[in-house]
Amino acid sequence: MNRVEELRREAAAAFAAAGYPTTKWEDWQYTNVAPIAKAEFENRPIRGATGGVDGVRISGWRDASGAALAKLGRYASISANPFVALNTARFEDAVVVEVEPGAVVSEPVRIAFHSDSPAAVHPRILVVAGRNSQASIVEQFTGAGRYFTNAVTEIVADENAIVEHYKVQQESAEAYHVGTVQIHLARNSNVTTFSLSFGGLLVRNDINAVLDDDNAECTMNGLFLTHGDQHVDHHTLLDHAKPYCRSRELYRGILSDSSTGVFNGKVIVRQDAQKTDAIQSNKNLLLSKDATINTKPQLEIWADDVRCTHGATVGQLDEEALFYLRSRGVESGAARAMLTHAFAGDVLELIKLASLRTRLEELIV
Amino acid sequence: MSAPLLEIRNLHAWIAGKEILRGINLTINAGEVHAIMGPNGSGKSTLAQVLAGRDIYEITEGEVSYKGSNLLELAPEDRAREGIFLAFQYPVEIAGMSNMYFLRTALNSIRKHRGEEPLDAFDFLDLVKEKSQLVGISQELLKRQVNAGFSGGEKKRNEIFQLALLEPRLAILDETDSGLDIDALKAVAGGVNATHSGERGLLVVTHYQRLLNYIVPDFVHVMHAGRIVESGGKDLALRLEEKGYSDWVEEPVARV
Ligand SMILES: Nc1ncnc2c1ncn2[C@@H]1O[C@H](COP(=O)(O)OP(=O)(O)OP(=O)(O)O)[C@@H](O)[C@H]1O
Ligand SMILES: [Mg+2]
Repeated sequence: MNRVEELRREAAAAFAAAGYPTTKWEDWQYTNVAPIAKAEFENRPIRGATGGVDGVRISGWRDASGAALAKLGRYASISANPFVALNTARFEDAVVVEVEPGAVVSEPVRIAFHSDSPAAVHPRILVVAGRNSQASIVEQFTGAGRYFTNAVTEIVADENAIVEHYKVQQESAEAYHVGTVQIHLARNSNVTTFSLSFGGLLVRNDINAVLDDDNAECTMNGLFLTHGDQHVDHHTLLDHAKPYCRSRELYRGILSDSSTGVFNGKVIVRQDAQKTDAIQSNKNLLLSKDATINTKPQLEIWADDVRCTHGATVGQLDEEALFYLRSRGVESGAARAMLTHAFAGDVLELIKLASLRTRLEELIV
Repeated sequence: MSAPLLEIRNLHAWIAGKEILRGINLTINAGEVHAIMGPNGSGKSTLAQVLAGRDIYEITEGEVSYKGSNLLELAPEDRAREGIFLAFQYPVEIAGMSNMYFLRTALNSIRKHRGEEPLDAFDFLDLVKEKSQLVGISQELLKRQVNAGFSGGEKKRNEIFQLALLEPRLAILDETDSGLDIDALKAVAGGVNATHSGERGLLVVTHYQRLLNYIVPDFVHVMHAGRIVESGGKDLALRLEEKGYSDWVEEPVARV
């Protein structure tokens, strides 16, 4: 039996044992996935990917290198999250992105998923960044109608590798989107991941990183915009396992109408992880009285010589700033949009890909 | 004779269950400079904010006409477009918004109202260069985020820069001189004077006669407890500087 078949079998067993999470589970308290379970979508297999840019090899799992294949499923845990188990049991092909050691890739690798039939899809991505390499990856999710995307991305950064990862979620207004991004950082590596979440009716993103050797750095940035009855949940986990690592986390939520949001940011600093430097910031802007956000930082610190700070705020548009703009001739609606933009700017200005930044700026009104 | 630029009649305004303006009367004709002085809490900023359209104050009585029509029914942005400008006592910091973008949006919405073409980025830069020299503000400052991390003096200069850029008919300066050193004060006054003309009116709220050496008022008013209790020429400011407000402010009967 090959490795993937074995993975699938274990994962199917894990999912059968656990079932879909319920709101009685601590990590799923605010996100009810019963509508996904009830919908009983048919599986729509995703065909393998090919192509690539200089210095990067992109293939399905069947054509991936043995070294890369050995990493598939090694980091995203099928026991910690039933949706990871479900993805692992059901993915047909995977997109394997291998960045050659030493390669400095300027052109971003773009991976796009589009759904337009009422089915479940289980996109699976593995990014293996070789030693001293540098690359950026953009994942894009779009679609039409009602469907379920259950994505898992594993990013494995080898020594001194630099990875910039963007997940742009623009699913249809009726779609369900559940996803895990699992990052593993080796010595001196540096991974930045953005979760840019705009679409979907019910959205849950888990973003986990293990800083597994000295002097690794992980940045997690996120921006989510919700309207109507959308529900968007971000659970992040930064696991500092080794000393001298840094993590930076900046999440911004903008909620309108009667939409709801969740931000749960967990930072674990293990006993070994002395000199950890971790900063977390989560700010939320409520544009309507009916919108709600649950935000919760969770720090678990077992080392004594560390610097960890966190801050979370929930607020409305600043009335004084609004009046200031209007007193200069800016119409009220435009002034609101300008202030909302300024709020989102904290995250958007960190996006290094100019074309992506411009495109996202236009989505914010 | 044409209508006054601004005519305030018996204006009453409330906030938080308290009457702050208790019957203000004031007329400003084009070309005139008026100064309002008065102790802390007498309602000077309230008057300034009410004129600019801040809606947290409830107007319970009185009228304000501007260029012959009812000012109170206009939204703040429409007042600005019609030529009213308030230099804030406490300019607002807006993190994440570029000052240049803010200024260009403001200018272009006012130009649109006047039936003028919007300025493109290049023409706008030229104009900014010209006006920044007028008020002595560094272009570096203008490139930062709106007032974010500015010193008190820098914020005041930014207000006067906006005044020079937007060229209002009626400018209201709320303590633009407070906290400025003499050089900054001269720069600010220079900018204000350079934009003043026979068509424009100016209402200056200040605690200090010093500013009025540079921006010379035609009229000085004393405000106390929500009313204008005395008006006079520029000499009144000198008298106030000497004697304070004791003529109007009663000593409390008892202190607890
Ligand atoms: N938002 C508000 N809520 C409650 N009270 C207010 C508010 N704004 C102003 N006031 C009150 O109104 C009164 C007048 O305030 P205002 O700011 O107009 O005074 P001022 O003359 O400008 O004083 P200063 O010289 O200190 O600037 C004060 O008693 C103040 O506390
Ligand atoms: Mg005041």
